Amino acid sequence: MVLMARTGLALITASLQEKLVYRFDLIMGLLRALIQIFVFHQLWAVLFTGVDDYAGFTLEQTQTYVVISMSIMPLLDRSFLPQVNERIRSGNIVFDLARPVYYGNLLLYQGLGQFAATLLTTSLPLLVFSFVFFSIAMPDSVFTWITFLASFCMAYYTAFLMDLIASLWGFWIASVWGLFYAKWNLLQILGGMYIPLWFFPSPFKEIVLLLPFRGVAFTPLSILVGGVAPEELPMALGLQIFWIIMLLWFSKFMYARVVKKLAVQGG
Amino acid sequence: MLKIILLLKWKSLKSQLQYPANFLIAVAGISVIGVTDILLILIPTSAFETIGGWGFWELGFMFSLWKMSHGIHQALFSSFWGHDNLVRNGEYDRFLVRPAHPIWQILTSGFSIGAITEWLPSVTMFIITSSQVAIEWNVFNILFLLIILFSGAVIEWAVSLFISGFSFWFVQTQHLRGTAHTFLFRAMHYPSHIFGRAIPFILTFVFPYAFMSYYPTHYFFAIDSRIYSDFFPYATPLVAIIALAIGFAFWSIGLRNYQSTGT
Repeated sequence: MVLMARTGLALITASLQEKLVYRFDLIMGLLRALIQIFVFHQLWAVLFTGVDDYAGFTLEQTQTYVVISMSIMPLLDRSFLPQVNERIRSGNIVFDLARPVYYGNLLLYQGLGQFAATLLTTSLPLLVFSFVFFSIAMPDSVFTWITFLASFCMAYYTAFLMDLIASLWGFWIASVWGLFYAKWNLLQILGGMYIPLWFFPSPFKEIVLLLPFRGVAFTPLSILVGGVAPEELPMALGLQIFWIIMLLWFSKFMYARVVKKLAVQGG
Repeated sequence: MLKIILLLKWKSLKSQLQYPANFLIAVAGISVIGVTDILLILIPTSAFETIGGWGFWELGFMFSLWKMSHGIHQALFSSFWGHDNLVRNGEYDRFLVRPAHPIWQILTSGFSIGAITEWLPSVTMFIITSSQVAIEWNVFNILFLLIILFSGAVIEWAVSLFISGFSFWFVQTQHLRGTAHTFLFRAMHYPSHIFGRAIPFILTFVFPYAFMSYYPTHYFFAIDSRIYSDFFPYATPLVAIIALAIGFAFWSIGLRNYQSTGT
């Protein structure tokens, strides 16, 4: 356990140092996120002119949602796809698979290291900035915060599992850019990162609400802005758990196929 | 010259077509971006009718102009996206000893399948939306449309070329490029005038992407520009020439400053 904590800390420090080497890039990255926040903050302000609420959701809720969504987006839409594909193409992947640690967990630890580094260098500064300059309303109930954090942890894991599955496809597809963009775009639009799902027209909305993508951003964020009534909470969290189990099963299934495929090829 | 470019592009495309299944998966995957684009316009307009006075069809028409221009950019000019690597890997050492100008050598390298994945959705969007908005098409209009589309691609390239110039000093410019791309990929779905003052200013005078679709749309709808000058709906070709001149000048200064990284 101590060893794991120490390894984890080392990974986080490494990711953090990597980020701080390119300070200029880091600052430009923040600027970029702020532009995006500003664009969508302004979009909803214009759309809500002369309108009190849409389907029960106010401008303040919507703006809080998008501002926080875009601040935490760098934590959730990171992808291992190019990195894994590079290792598959170079053949170095066999060394990763031969390690005593399950490959998925190896990526997860790396991902958590990057998560901590991104949180400290990108998301927290963005959130602080947004608090100061944008009108956003945070919940004051402790219960809401706890459910948000629980849902957010599951959101991260859902995003990770989807990325793992997409990365494993790289064993069958030589050029993964299509997969990379498709995954990224579906996550952003169907996950509700740019537009909260409550604005989606029916029956499209009802379908999207059943898909796993909502668990990546929409579920935690709508809990945070008070868009989920207490009686809907078990359903929202339950769906996240359901999809995590399904994705976890599917990733293990694919991993087994990968190992078998490699064995057949004999390296 | 154009003939050589097209020939080289065709050869690059053919090399990608060696693996047809791969190629199709990539095309399908990247085309998902087109679906996202439509949803970014469709969902807000289905909830609130109009954005800044324009409905779904108007915005769709405006966006299809941008996407078609972007498609031309992807087909002809997108090799500059990897400019950092050209400097870092010392590719310029090779470019500079060859007789052809480095710009030609970079432009002719590689084929971005973006050309296909942008054109398929955008032309479809253009055909559908242009039949839903009130535009009287005549020879002059269509000629202007073609000029606008090419000029738009040149504007996008001019900014890209300008940013490429920085990589002679900083080596890493991907986030600077990313900043321009945030405007390019996230602010073009909506009319610029809804964004207050700062963003329209940037989209007009810093990264003049508004000239790719926002201003020309006013010309096609025969309406006056809400921001800045009434001349701007006609200005796209002029802006393209000026922007390219500035971008090329800056890149050339950078090139004179080029020192091999030694790799």
